[in-house]
Amino acid sequence: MNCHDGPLKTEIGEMNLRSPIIISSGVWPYDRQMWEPSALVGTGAVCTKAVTLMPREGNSGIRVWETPSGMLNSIGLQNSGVDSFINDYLPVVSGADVPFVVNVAAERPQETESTLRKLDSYRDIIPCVELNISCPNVDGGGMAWGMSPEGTREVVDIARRSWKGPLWVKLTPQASDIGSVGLAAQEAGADALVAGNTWLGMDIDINNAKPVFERTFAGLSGPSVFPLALRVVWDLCSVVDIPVIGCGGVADHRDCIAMIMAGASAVETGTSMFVDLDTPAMMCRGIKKYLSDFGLSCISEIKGSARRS
Amino acid sequence: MCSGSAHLPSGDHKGIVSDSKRITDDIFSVSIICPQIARHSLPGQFIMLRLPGRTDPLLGRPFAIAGCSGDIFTVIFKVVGKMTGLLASVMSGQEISVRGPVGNSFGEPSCKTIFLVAGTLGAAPLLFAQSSLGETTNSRFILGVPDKTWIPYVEWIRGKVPHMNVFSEDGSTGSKGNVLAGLPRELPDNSELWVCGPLPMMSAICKRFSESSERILVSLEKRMACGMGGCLGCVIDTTFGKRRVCVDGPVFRGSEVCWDELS
Repeated sequence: MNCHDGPLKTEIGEMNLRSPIIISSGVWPYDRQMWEPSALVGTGAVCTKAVTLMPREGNSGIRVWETPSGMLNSIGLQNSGVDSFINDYLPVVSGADVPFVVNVAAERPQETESTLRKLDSYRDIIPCVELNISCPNVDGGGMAWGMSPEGTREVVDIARRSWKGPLWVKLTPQASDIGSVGLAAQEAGADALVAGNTWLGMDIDINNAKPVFERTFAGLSGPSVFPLALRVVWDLCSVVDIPVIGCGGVADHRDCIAMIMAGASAVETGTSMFVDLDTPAMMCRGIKKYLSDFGLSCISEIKGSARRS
Repeated sequence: MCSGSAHLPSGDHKGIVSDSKRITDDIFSVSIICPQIARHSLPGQFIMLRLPGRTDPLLGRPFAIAGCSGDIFTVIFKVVGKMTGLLASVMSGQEISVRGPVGNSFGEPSCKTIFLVAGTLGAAPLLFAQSSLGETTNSRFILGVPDKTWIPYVEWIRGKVPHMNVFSEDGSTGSKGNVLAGLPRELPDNSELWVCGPLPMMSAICKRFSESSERILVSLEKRMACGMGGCLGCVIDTTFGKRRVCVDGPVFRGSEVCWDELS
Protein backbone atom coordinates (compact mmCIF):
# COMPACT_ATOMS: atom_id res chain seq x y z
CA MET A 1 0.00 0.00 0.00
CA ASN A 2 1.33 3.37 -1.03
CA CYS A 3 1.32 6.15 1.56
CA HIS A 4 -0.22 8.42 -1.09
CA ASP A 5 -3.49 6.50 -0.59
CA GLY A 6 -3.85 8.04 2.87
CA PRO A 7 -2.37 7.39 6.29
CA LEU A 8 -4.84 4.72 7.31
CA LYS A 9 -5.41 2.85 4.05
CA THR A 10 -4.98 -0.86 4.67
CA GLU A 11 -4.47 -3.75 2.33
CA ILE A 12 -5.39 -7.31 3.28
CA GLY A 13 -4.74 -9.48 0.26
CA GLU A 14 -7.14 -8.32 -2.44
CA MET A 15 -9.11 -6.15 -0.04
CA ASN A 16 -8.45 -2.46 0.32
CA LEU A 17 -9.82 -0.89 3.47
CA ARG A 18 -10.06 2.81 4.31
CA SER A 19 -8.84 2.09 7.84
CA PRO A 20 -7.37 -0.88 9.75
CA ILE A 21 -10.30 -0.95 12.20
CA ILE A 22 -12.62 -3.89 11.59
CA ILE A 23 -15.70 -4.58 13.71
CA SER A 24 -15.44 -8.21 14.75
CA SER A 25 -18.11 -10.85 14.40
CA GLY A 26 -20.86 -11.17 16.99
CA VAL A 27 -21.20 -7.48 17.60
CA TRP A 28 -22.96 -5.55 14.88
CA PRO A 29 -26.74 -5.96 14.40
CA TYR A 30 -28.31 -6.23 10.97
CA ASP A 31 -30.68 -3.33 11.62
CA ARG A 32 -30.39 -0.99 8.66
CA GLN A 33 -29.68 2.09 10.79
CA MET A 34 -26.42 0.53 11.95
CA TRP A 35 -25.15 0.18 8.36
CA GLU A 36 -25.64 3.83 7.48
CA PRO A 37 -22.40 5.78 6.85
CA SER A 38 -22.92 7.84 10.01
CA ALA A 39 -22.84 4.68 12.13
CA LEU A 40 -19.59 3.41 10.61
CA VAL A 41 -17.31 6.42 10.72
CA GLY A 42 -13.70 5.26 10.92
CA THR A 43 -14.61 1.64 10.31
CA GLY A 44 -12.61 -0.24 7.67
CA ALA A 45 -14.87 -3.29 7.45
CA VAL A 46 -17.59 -5.08 9.41
CA CYS A 47 -17.75 -8.80 10.11
CA THR A 48 -21.28 -10.15 10.27
CA LYS A 49 -22.58 -12.22 13.12
CA ALA A 50 -21.84 -15.91 12.60
CA VAL A 51 -23.77 -17.53 9.77
CA THR A 52 -24.46 -21.26 9.93
CA LEU A 53 -26.10 -23.61 7.45
CA MET A 54 -29.25 -24.05 9.49
CA PRO A 55 -30.86 -21.62 11.97
CA ARG A 56 -29.55 -21.78 15.51
CA GLU A 57 -31.58 -20.82 18.57
CA GLY A 58 -28.53 -19.96 20.62
CA ASN A 59 -27.90 -20.87 24.23
CA SER A 60 -30.38 -20.70 27.08
CA GLY A 61 -29.71 -19.19 30.48
CA ILE A 62 -27.47 -16.21 31.13
CA ARG A 63 -25.67 -15.16 27.95
CA VAL A 64 -23.50 -12.24 29.00
CA TRP A 65 -21.63 -11.60 32.24
CA GLU A 66 -19.25 -8.79 33.03
CA THR A 67 -15.83 -9.57 34.51
CA PRO A 68 -13.07 -7.19 35.66
CA SER A 69 -12.24 -5.18 32.51
CA GLY A 70 -13.93 -7.74 30.32
CA MET A 71 -16.99 -9.83 29.65
CA LEU A 72 -17.92 -13.46 29.16
CA ASN A 73 -20.44 -14.44 26.52
CA SER A 74 -22.28 -17.61 25.75
CA ILE A 75 -24.62 -16.57 22.95
CA GLY A 76 -24.33 -19.85 21.07
CA LEU A 77 -24.10 -18.44 17.52
CA GLN A 78 -27.80 -17.56 17.42
CA ASN A 79 -28.64 -16.85 13.78
CA SER A 80 -31.35 -17.54 11.27
CA GLY A 81 -29.23 -19.62 8.87
CA VAL A 82 -27.48 -18.94 5.58
CA ASP A 83 -30.65 -18.83 3.45
CA SER A 84 -32.14 -16.17 5.70
CA PHE A 85 -28.85 -14.29 5.65
CA ILE A 86 -28.88 -14.20 1.86
CA ASN A 87 -32.54 -13.20 1.61
CA ASP A 88 -32.97 -10.89 4.59
CA TYR A 89 -29.61 -9.42 5.53
CA LEU A 90 -27.36 -9.47 2.47
CA PRO A 91 -29.36 -6.59 0.91
CA VAL A 92 -28.73 -4.54 4.08
CA VAL A 93 -25.03 -5.20 4.58
CA SER A 94 -24.17 -4.94 0.90
CA GLY A 95 -25.59 -1.41 0.87
CA ALA A 96 -23.05 -0.11 3.36
CA ASP A 97 -20.19 2.15 2.33
CA VAL A 98 -17.63 -0.22 3.87
CA PRO A 99 -16.88 -3.83 2.95
CA PHE A 100 -18.51 -6.57 4.99
CA VAL A 101 -17.05 -9.94 5.85
CA VAL A 102 -19.38 -12.90 6.25
CA ASN A 103 -18.41 -14.88 9.33
CA VAL A 104 -19.16 -18.57 8.78
CA ALA A 105 -19.26 -21.27 11.46
CA ALA A 106 -19.81 -24.99 10.95
CA GLU A 107 -19.59 -28.13 13.03
CA ARG A 108 -19.35 -30.66 10.18
CA PRO A 109 -17.39 -30.77 6.90
CA GLN A 110 -20.63 -30.97 4.92
CA GLU A 111 -21.99 -27.88 6.70
CA THR A 112 -18.86 -25.95 5.85
CA GLU A 113 -19.09 -26.90 2.21
CA SER A 114 -22.84 -26.32 1.85
CA THR A 115 -22.80 -22.95 3.60
CA LEU A 116 -19.87 -21.66 1.57
CA ARG A 117 -21.21 -22.93 -1.77
CA LYS A 118 -24.42 -21.01 -1.14
CA LEU A 119 -22.40 -17.87 -0.38
CA ASP A 120 -20.18 -18.48 -3.39
CA SER A 121 -23.21 -17.95 -5.61
CA TYR A 122 -23.15 -14.34 -4.41
CA ARG A 123 -19.40 -13.85 -4.75
CA ASP A 124 -19.92 -10.76 -6.86
CA ILE A 125 -21.41 -8.93 -3.87
CA ILE A 126 -19.75 -10.69 -0.91
CA PRO A 127 -16.26 -9.19 -0.52
CA CYS A 128 -14.86 -11.75 1.90
CA VAL A 129 -15.59 -14.73 4.14
CA GLU A 130 -14.16 -15.24 7.62
CA LEU A 131 -14.18 -18.88 8.69
CA ASN A 132 -14.60 -19.38 12.43
CA ILE A 133 -12.67 -22.52 13.35
CA SER A 134 -13.34 -22.29 17.09
CA CYS A 135 -16.46 -24.43 16.64
CA PRO A 136 -16.36 -28.08 17.66
CA ASN A 137 -15.71 -30.57 14.87
CA VAL A 138 -18.61 -32.86 15.72
CA ASP A 139 -17.57 -35.68 13.37
CA GLY A 140 -13.97 -35.42 14.54
CA GLY A 141 -14.50 -36.06 18.23
CA GLY A 142 -15.85 -32.68 19.28
CA MET A 143 -12.59 -30.78 19.61
CA ALA A 144 -12.58 -27.40 17.91
CA TRP A 145 -11.20 -27.49 14.36
CA GLY A 146 -8.64 -24.87 15.21
CA MET A 147 -7.10 -26.71 18.15
CA SER A 148 -4.82 -28.74 15.89
CA PRO A 149 -3.02 -28.23 12.56
CA GLU A 150 -4.76 -31.35 11.19
CA GLY A 151 -8.29 -30.11 12.03
CA THR A 152 -7.43 -26.67 10.71
CA ARG A 153 -6.04 -28.04 7.44
CA GLU A 154 -9.14 -30.21 6.95
CA VAL A 155 -11.70 -27.47 7.38
CA VAL A 156 -9.77 -24.73 5.57
CA ASP A 157 -9.19 -27.08 2.64
CA ILE A 158 -12.95 -27.67 2.38
CA ALA A 159 -13.62 -23.96 2.68
CA ARG A 160 -11.04 -23.08 0.05
CA ARG A 161 -12.64 -25.45 -2.45
CA SER A 162 -16.16 -24.19 -1.68
CA TRP A 163 -15.61 -20.42 -1.61
CA LYS A 164 -13.49 -18.80 -4.31
CA GLY A 165 -13.29 -15.29 -2.92
CA PRO A 166 -11.01 -13.87 -0.21
CA LEU A 167 -10.92 -16.24 2.76
CA TRP A 168 -9.91 -15.20 6.27
CA VAL A 169 -9.53 -17.88 8.91
CA LYS A 170 -10.34 -16.88 12.48
CA LEU A 171 -8.16 -18.94 14.78
CA THR A 172 -8.83 -19.97 18.34
CA PRO A 173 -6.32 -18.69 20.88
CA GLN A 174 -6.88 -21.91 22.82
CA ALA A 175 -4.61 -23.76 20.36
CA SER A 176 -1.42 -24.81 22.14
CA ASP A 177 0.76 -24.25 19.08
CA ILE A 178 -0.75 -21.27 17.28
CA GLY A 179 2.14 -21.08 14.83
CA SER A 180 1.57 -24.60 13.51
CA VAL A 181 -2.17 -23.99 13.26
CA GLY A 182 -1.56 -20.76 11.38
CA LEU A 183 0.83 -22.44 8.98
CA ALA A 184 -1.72 -25.20 8.36
CA ALA A 185 -4.36 -22.60 7.50
CA GLN A 186 -1.92 -20.78 5.22
CA GLU A 187 -0.93 -23.98 3.42
CA ALA A 188 -4.60 -24.92 2.95
CA GLY A 189 -5.26 -21.65 1.15
CA ALA A 190 -6.24 -19.00 3.69
CA ASP A 191 -5.71 -15.46 2.41
CA ALA A 192 -5.41 -13.98 5.91
CA LEU A 193 -5.57 -15.07 9.53
CA VAL A 194 -7.54 -13.47 12.33
CA ALA A 195 -5.83 -13.99 15.67
CA GLY A 196 -7.86 -14.82 17.50
CA ASN A 197 -11.24 -15.38 19.09
CA THR A 198 -12.52 -15.16 22.68
CA TRP A 199 -10.70 -17.03 25.45
CA LEU A 200 -12.48 -19.77 27.32
CA GLY A 201 -13.33 -18.71 30.82
CA MET A 202 -16.03 -19.11 33.42
CA ASP A 203 -17.49 -17.65 36.57
CA ILE A 204 -19.38 -19.09 39.49
CA ASP A 205 -22.44 -17.61 41.15
CA ILE A 206 -21.32 -17.99 44.74
CA ASN A 207 -24.83 -17.39 46.09
CA ASN A 208 -26.08 -20.48 44.28
CA ALA A 209 -22.79 -22.42 44.17
CA LYS A 210 -23.26 -22.98 40.44
CA PRO A 211 -21.48 -21.90 37.27
CA VAL A 212 -23.02 -18.71 35.89
CA PHE A 213 -23.46 -20.21 32.43
CA GLU A 214 -25.52 -23.29 31.63
CA ARG A 215 -22.67 -24.52 29.42
CA THR A 216 -20.19 -23.74 32.23
CA PHE A 217 -17.57 -22.16 29.96
CA ALA A 218 -17.95 -18.96 27.98
CA GLY A 219 -15.84 -16.69 25.81
CA LEU A 220 -13.84 -13.94 27.51
CA SER A 221 -13.24 -10.66 25.66
CA GLY A 222 -12.46 -7.05 26.46
CA PRO A 223 -9.37 -5.13 27.59
CA SER A 224 -8.35 -7.85 30.04
CA VAL A 225 -7.35 -10.22 27.20
CA PHE A 226 -5.32 -7.74 25.15
CA PRO A 227 -1.83 -8.80 26.35
CA LEU A 228 -2.73 -12.44 25.66
CA ALA A 229 -3.98 -11.63 22.17
CA LEU A 230 -0.92 -9.51 21.39
CA ARG A 231 1.33 -12.44 22.27
CA VAL A 232 -0.66 -14.69 19.90
CA VAL A 233 -0.27 -12.16 17.09
CA TRP A 234 3.45 -11.86 17.79
CA ASP A 235 3.92 -15.64 17.65
CA LEU A 236 1.85 -16.02 14.52
CA CYS A 237 3.60 -13.23 12.64
CA SER A 238 6.88 -15.03 13.29
CA VAL A 239 5.88 -17.95 11.10
CA VAL A 240 3.26 -17.03 8.49
CA ASP A 241 3.58 -14.92 5.35
CA ILE A 242 -0.07 -14.04 4.81
CA PRO A 243 -1.64 -11.00 6.53
CA VAL A 244 -2.61 -11.32 10.18
CA ILE A 245 -5.48 -9.39 11.74
CA GLY A 246 -5.07 -8.84 15.48
CA CYS A 247 -8.18 -9.47 17.55
CA GLY A 248 -8.69 -9.59 21.29
CA GLY A 249 -9.16 -6.74 23.75
CA VAL A 250 -8.32 -4.00 21.25
CA ALA A 251 -9.88 -0.99 22.94
CA ASP A 252 -8.11 2.15 21.77
CA HIS A 253 -5.60 3.54 19.26
CA ARG A 254 -2.68 2.46 21.41
CA ASP A 255 -3.80 -1.17 21.22
CA CYS A 256 -4.20 -0.87 17.43
CA ILE A 257 -0.69 0.50 17.06
CA ALA A 258 0.77 -2.22 19.29
CA MET A 259 -0.93 -4.94 17.24
CA ILE A 260 0.39 -3.45 14.01
CA MET A 261 3.88 -3.05 15.48
CA ALA A 262 3.72 -6.77 16.37
CA GLY A 263 3.13 -7.51 12.69
CA ALA A 264 -0.64 -7.31 12.23
CA SER A 265 -2.01 -5.68 9.09
CA ALA A 266 -5.24 -4.62 10.77
CA VAL A 267 -7.25 -5.18 13.95
CA GLU A 268 -10.68 -6.45 14.82
CA THR A 269 -12.51 -4.94 17.76
CA GLY A 270 -15.78 -6.06 19.28
CA THR A 271 -16.39 -5.47 22.96
CA SER A 272 -15.18 -1.88 22.56
CA MET A 273 -18.21 -1.25 20.33
CA PHE A 274 -20.48 -2.28 23.19
CA VAL A 275 -18.67 0.30 25.29
CA ASP A 276 -18.58 3.21 22.85
CA LEU A 277 -20.08 3.43 19.37
CA ASP A 278 -17.53 6.08 18.44
CA THR A 279 -14.60 3.69 19.02
CA PRO A 280 -13.44 3.30 15.37
CA ALA A 281 -13.46 7.05 14.79
CA MET A 282 -11.54 7.66 18.02
CA MET A 283 -9.02 4.96 17.10
CA CYS A 284 -8.47 6.54 13.69
CA ARG A 285 -7.93 9.98 15.20
CA GLY A 286 -5.48 8.53 17.70
CA ILE A 287 -3.50 6.63 15.09
CA LYS A 288 -3.29 9.68 12.82
CA LYS A 289 -2.03 11.79 15.70
CA TYR A 290 0.55 9.17 16.60
CA LEU A 291 1.80 9.05 13.00
CA SER A 292 1.97 12.82 12.90
CA ASP A 293 3.77 13.05 16.26
CA PHE A 294 6.42 10.61 15.06
CA GLY A 295 6.78 12.12 11.61
CA LEU A 296 5.32 9.10 9.83
CA SER A 297 3.14 9.13 6.73
CA CYS A 298 1.11 5.95 6.97
CA ILE A 299 0.56 2.90 9.14
CA SER A 300 2.44 0.59 6.82
CA GLU A 301 5.57 2.30 8.17
CA ILE A 302 4.97 0.88 11.63
CA LYS A 303 3.89 -2.62 10.57
CA GLY A 304 6.14 -5.06 12.40
CA SER A 305 8.35 -2.25 13.66
CA ALA A 306 8.59 -3.75 17.15
CA ARG A 307 10.15 -6.87 15.64
CA ARG A 308 13.07 -5.06 14.04
CA SER A 309 15.00 -4.07 17.14
CA MET B 1 -45.40 -4.61 20.05
CA CYS B 2 -43.09 -7.32 18.71
CA SER B 3 -44.05 -6.93 15.11
CA GLY B 4 -42.76 -3.37 14.88
CA SER B 5 -39.31 -2.30 13.79
CA ALA B 6 -36.38 -2.16 16.21
CA HIS B 7 -35.69 1.02 18.16
CA LEU B 8 -31.96 1.59 18.23
CA PRO B 9 -30.18 4.31 20.18
CA SER B 10 -29.43 7.56 18.40
CA GLY B 11 -25.88 7.26 19.70
CA ASP B 12 -23.61 7.68 22.70
CA HIS B 13 -24.04 11.06 24.30
CA LYS B 14 -22.24 13.09 26.91
CA GLY B 15 -24.27 13.68 30.03
CA ILE B 16 -23.52 15.85 33.05
CA VAL B 17 -24.87 14.90 36.47
CA SER B 18 -27.07 17.73 37.71
CA ASP B 19 -28.38 16.24 40.93
CA SER B 20 -28.24 13.10 43.06
CA LYS B 21 -30.61 12.27 45.91
CA ARG B 22 -30.56 9.48 48.45
CA ILE B 23 -34.14 8.23 48.82
CA THR B 24 -33.52 5.32 51.20
CA ASP B 25 -30.32 3.76 52.53
CA ASP B 26 -29.67 2.16 49.16
CA ILE B 27 -32.08 3.76 46.68
CA PHE B 28 -31.03 6.86 44.78
CA SER B 29 -32.30 9.17 42.08
CA VAL B 30 -29.82 10.78 39.72
CA SER B 31 -30.69 13.54 37.27
CA ILE B 32 -28.53 14.05 34.22
CA ILE B 33 -28.29 16.93 31.77
CA CYS B 34 -28.43 15.43 28.29
CA PRO B 35 -30.75 17.08 25.78
CA GLN B 36 -30.34 14.26 23.25
CA ILE B 37 -32.09 12.00 25.74
CA ALA B 38 -34.33 14.34 27.70
CA ARG B 39 -35.88 15.97 24.64
CA HIS B 40 -36.31 12.82 22.56
CA SER B 41 -37.34 10.05 24.94
CA LEU B 42 -40.71 8.37 25.25
CA PRO B 43 -42.15 6.66 28.33
CA GLY B 44 -40.89 3.08 28.43
CA GLN B 45 -37.56 3.79 26.78
CA PHE B 46 -34.29 3.36 28.66
CA ILE B 47 -30.67 4.42 28.54
CA MET B 48 -27.32 2.70 29.14
CA LEU B 49 -25.18 4.60 31.65
CA ARG B 50 -21.41 4.22 31.75
CA LEU B 51 -18.68 5.97 33.66
CA PRO B 52 -16.20 7.24 31.07
CA GLY B 53 -12.53 6.43 31.43
CA ARG B 54 -13.12 3.27 33.44
CA THR B 55 -12.67 -0.31 32.28
CA ASP B 56 -14.14 -1.74 35.49
CA PRO B 57 -17.07 -1.62 35.29
CA LEU B 58 -16.61 -1.81 31.55
CA LEU B 59 -20.06 -1.94 30.01
CA GLY B 60 -23.00 0.39 30.31
CA ARG B 61 -25.95 -0.58 32.49
CA PRO B 62 -29.59 -0.18 31.49
CA PHE B 63 -31.84 2.16 33.46
CA ALA B 64 -35.43 3.08 32.72
CA ILE B 65 -36.04 6.76 32.20
CA ALA B 66 -38.14 7.90 35.17
CA GLY B 67 -38.88 11.35 33.84
CA CYS B 68 -37.71 14.18 31.61
CA SER B 69 -37.83 17.92 32.15
CA GLY B 70 -36.21 20.33 29.72
CA ASP B 71 -32.67 19.07 29.09
CA ILE B 72 -32.66 16.81 32.17
CA PHE B 73 -33.72 13.21 32.60
CA THR B 74 -33.88 11.20 35.80
CA VAL B 75 -33.20 7.58 36.73
CA ILE B 76 -33.82 5.78 40.00
CA PHE B 77 -31.92 2.74 41.17
CA LYS B 78 -31.06 0.51 44.10
CA VAL B 79 -27.42 -0.25 44.86
CA VAL B 80 -26.95 -3.88 43.89
CA GLY B 81 -23.42 -4.03 42.48
CA LYS B 82 -20.27 -2.25 41.43
CA MET B 83 -21.84 0.13 38.91
CA THR B 84 -24.80 1.17 41.02
CA GLY B 85 -22.42 1.62 43.96
CA LEU B 86 -20.38 4.06 41.90
CA LEU B 87 -23.48 5.79 40.56
CA ALA B 88 -24.65 6.35 44.13
CA SER B 89 -21.63 8.55 44.73
CA VAL B 90 -21.64 10.64 41.54
CA MET B 91 -21.31 14.37 42.08
CA SER B 92 -22.99 17.28 40.34
CA GLY B 93 -20.97 18.27 37.30
CA GLN B 94 -19.54 14.80 36.79
CA GLU B 95 -19.50 13.54 33.22
CA ILE B 96 -21.33 10.36 32.40
CA SER B 97 -21.77 8.48 29.13
CA VAL B 98 -25.34 7.92 28.00
CA ARG B 99 -26.37 5.54 25.21
CA GLY B 100 -29.92 6.02 24.10
CA PRO B 101 -32.75 6.51 24.04
CA VAL B 102 -33.13 2.76 23.52
CA GLY B 103 -36.17 0.64 22.87
CA ASN B 104 -39.83 1.10 22.12
CA SER B 105 -42.32 2.80 24.42
CA PHE B 106 -45.71 2.23 25.97
CA GLY B 107 -47.11 4.25 23.10
CA GLU B 108 -50.36 6.16 23.11
CA PRO B 109 -53.08 4.77 25.37
CA SER B 110 -55.56 2.71 23.36
CA CYS B 111 -58.13 2.63 26.17
CA LYS B 112 -59.80 5.23 28.35
CA THR B 113 -58.47 3.82 31.64
CA ILE B 114 -54.87 2.84 32.29
CA PHE B 115 -53.81 0.89 35.37
CA LEU B 116 -50.13 1.65 35.99
CA VAL B 117 -48.89 -1.25 38.10
CA ALA B 118 -45.40 -0.99 39.61
CA GLY B 119 -43.40 -3.38 41.71
CA THR B 120 -40.61 -1.65 43.68
CA LEU B 121 -38.21 0.07 41.24
CA GLY B 122 -40.51 -0.81 38.34
CA ALA B 123 -42.17 2.49 39.17
CA ALA B 124 -39.47 4.29 37.16
CA PRO B 125 -40.85 4.01 33.59
CA LEU B 126 -44.42 4.26 34.89
CA LEU B 127 -43.69 7.60 36.56
CA PHE B 128 -42.60 8.88 33.16
CA ALA B 129 -45.70 7.35 31.58
CA GLN B 130 -48.00 8.85 34.23
CA SER B 131 -46.59 12.31 33.64
CA SER B 132 -47.18 11.97 29.91
CA LEU B 133 -50.81 10.84 29.96
CA GLY B 134 -53.32 13.39 28.72
CA GLU B 135 -56.27 14.63 30.73
CA THR B 136 -58.71 12.47 28.78
CA THR B 137 -57.10 9.31 30.13
CA ASN B 138 -58.09 7.98 33.54
CA SER B 139 -55.08 6.52 35.28
CA ARG B 140 -54.67 4.53 38.47
CA PHE B 141 -51.17 4.10 39.86
CA ILE B 142 -50.59 1.02 42.04
CA LEU B 143 -47.27 0.43 43.79
CA GLY B 144 -46.17 -2.70 45.62
CA VAL B 145 -43.17 -2.95 47.97
CA PRO B 146 -41.92 -5.68 50.30
CA ASP B 147 -41.53 -4.02 53.70
CA LYS B 148 -41.03 -0.94 55.85
CA THR B 149 -37.53 -0.26 54.57
CA TRP B 150 -39.23 0.99 51.40
CA ILE B 151 -41.41 3.59 53.15
CA PRO B 152 -39.18 6.60 52.25
CA TYR B 153 -39.24 5.40 48.65
CA VAL B 154 -43.04 5.09 48.72
CA GLU B 155 -43.30 8.63 50.06
CA TRP B 156 -40.91 9.89 47.35
CA ILE B 157 -43.14 8.32 44.70
CA ARG B 158 -46.23 9.71 46.43
CA GLY B 159 -44.75 13.16 46.04
CA LYS B 160 -45.10 12.67 42.29
CA VAL B 161 -48.30 10.58 42.26
CA PRO B 162 -50.37 11.71 45.29
CA HIS B 163 -53.37 9.45 44.69
CA MET B 164 -51.66 6.11 44.18
CA ASN B 165 -52.61 2.85 45.91
CA VAL B 166 -49.82 1.23 47.90
CA PHE B 167 -49.44 -2.39 48.94
CA SER B 168 -46.75 -3.82 51.17
CA GLU B 169 -46.18 -7.45 51.97
CA ASP B 170 -45.70 -6.74 55.69
CA GLY B 171 -48.51 -4.19 55.91
CA SER B 172 -46.15 -1.45 57.07
CA THR B 173 -47.36 1.00 54.44
CA GLY B 174 -50.60 1.09 52.48
CA SER B 175 -52.65 -2.10 52.42
CA LYS B 176 -51.18 -5.45 53.35
CA GLY B 177 -50.69 -7.70 50.33
CA ASN B 178 -49.41 -7.38 46.80
CA VAL B 179 -50.48 -5.32 43.82
CA LEU B 180 -52.85 -8.03 42.59
CA ALA B 181 -55.12 -7.09 45.51
CA GLY B 182 -55.42 -3.62 44.03
CA LEU B 183 -56.66 -4.85 40.68
CA PRO B 184 -60.23 -5.80 39.73
CA ARG B 185 -61.10 -9.48 39.31
CA GLU B 186 -61.53 -8.94 35.59
CA LEU B 187 -60.01 -6.25 33.44
CA PRO B 188 -62.85 -3.81 32.69
CA ASP B 189 -63.71 -2.99 29.11
CA ASN B 190 -61.89 -0.02 27.67
CA SER B 191 -58.99 -0.37 30.09
CA GLU B 192 -55.44 -1.66 29.92
CA LEU B 193 -52.58 -2.46 32.26
CA TRP B 194 -49.08 -1.04 31.98
CA VAL B 195 -46.84 -3.09 34.24
CA CYS B 196 -43.22 -2.99 35.37
CA GLY B 197 -41.68 -4.85 38.27
CA PRO B 198 -40.22 -8.17 39.32
CA LEU B 199 -40.75 -10.99 36.85
CA PRO B 200 -42.98 -13.11 39.13
CA MET B 201 -45.28 -10.12 39.62
CA MET B 202 -45.61 -9.44 35.90
CA SER B 203 -46.08 -13.12 35.14
CA ALA B 204 -48.77 -13.46 37.83
CA ILE B 205 -50.65 -10.43 36.47
CA CYS B 206 -50.58 -11.80 32.92
CA LYS B 207 -51.81 -15.19 34.13
CA ARG B 208 -54.62 -13.64 36.17
CA PHE B 209 -55.81 -11.64 33.17
CA SER B 210 -54.90 -14.24 30.57
CA GLU B 211 -58.18 -13.64 28.72
CA SER B 212 -57.20 -10.01 28.23
CA SER B 213 -53.41 -10.24 28.12
CA GLU B 214 -53.30 -8.44 24.79
CA ARG B 215 -54.39 -5.39 26.81
CA ILE B 216 -51.41 -5.73 29.15
CA LEU B 217 -48.11 -4.02 28.36
CA VAL B 218 -45.13 -5.24 30.36
CA SER B 219 -41.75 -3.54 30.50
CA LEU B 220 -39.07 -6.23 30.77
CA GLU B 221 -35.52 -6.14 32.03
CA LYS B 222 -32.80 -8.57 31.00
CA ARG B 223 -29.05 -8.71 31.40
CA MET B 224 -27.50 -7.07 28.30
CA ALA B 225 -24.06 -6.00 27.09
CA CYS B 226 -24.72 -3.46 24.36
CA GLY B 227 -28.17 -1.86 24.31
CA MET B 228 -28.01 -1.62 20.52
CA GLY B 229 -29.32 -5.02 19.42
CA GLY B 230 -25.93 -6.50 18.64
CA CYS B 231 -24.88 -8.84 21.42
CA LEU B 232 -28.08 -10.92 21.61
CA GLY B 233 -27.51 -11.24 25.33
CA CYS B 234 -31.03 -10.09 26.21
CA VAL B 235 -33.03 -12.32 23.86
CA ILE B 236 -36.35 -13.76 25.07
CA ASP B 237 -38.86 -16.17 23.55
CA THR B 238 -42.07 -14.61 22.30
CA THR B 239 -44.96 -15.77 20.17
CA PHE B 240 -43.13 -13.99 17.31
CA GLY B 241 -39.94 -15.99 17.98
CA LYS B 242 -36.73 -14.75 19.56
CA ARG B 243 -36.79 -11.03 20.33
CA ARG B 244 -34.23 -8.64 21.82
CA VAL B 245 -35.46 -6.94 24.98
CA CYS B 246 -33.26 -3.92 24.26
CA VAL B 247 -34.40 -2.80 20.82
CA ASP B 248 -37.46 -4.98 20.06
CA GLY B 249 -38.76 -4.19 23.57
CA PRO B 250 -38.47 -3.48 26.42
CA VAL B 251 -42.26 -3.09 26.27
CA PHE B 252 -44.09 -6.22 25.11
CA ARG B 253 -47.71 -7.26 25.14
CA GLY B 254 -48.33 -9.75 27.92
CA SER B 255 -49.85 -12.09 25.34
CA GLU B 256 -46.60 -12.13 23.34
CA VAL B 257 -44.23 -13.18 26.11
CA CYS B 258 -43.50 -16.89 26.67
CA TRP B 259 -43.53 -16.53 30.45
CA ASP B 260 -42.59 -20.14 31.18
CA GLU B 261 -39.33 -19.70 29.23
CA LEU B 262 -38.29 -16.62 31.18
CA SER B 263 -36.06 -17.15 34.18
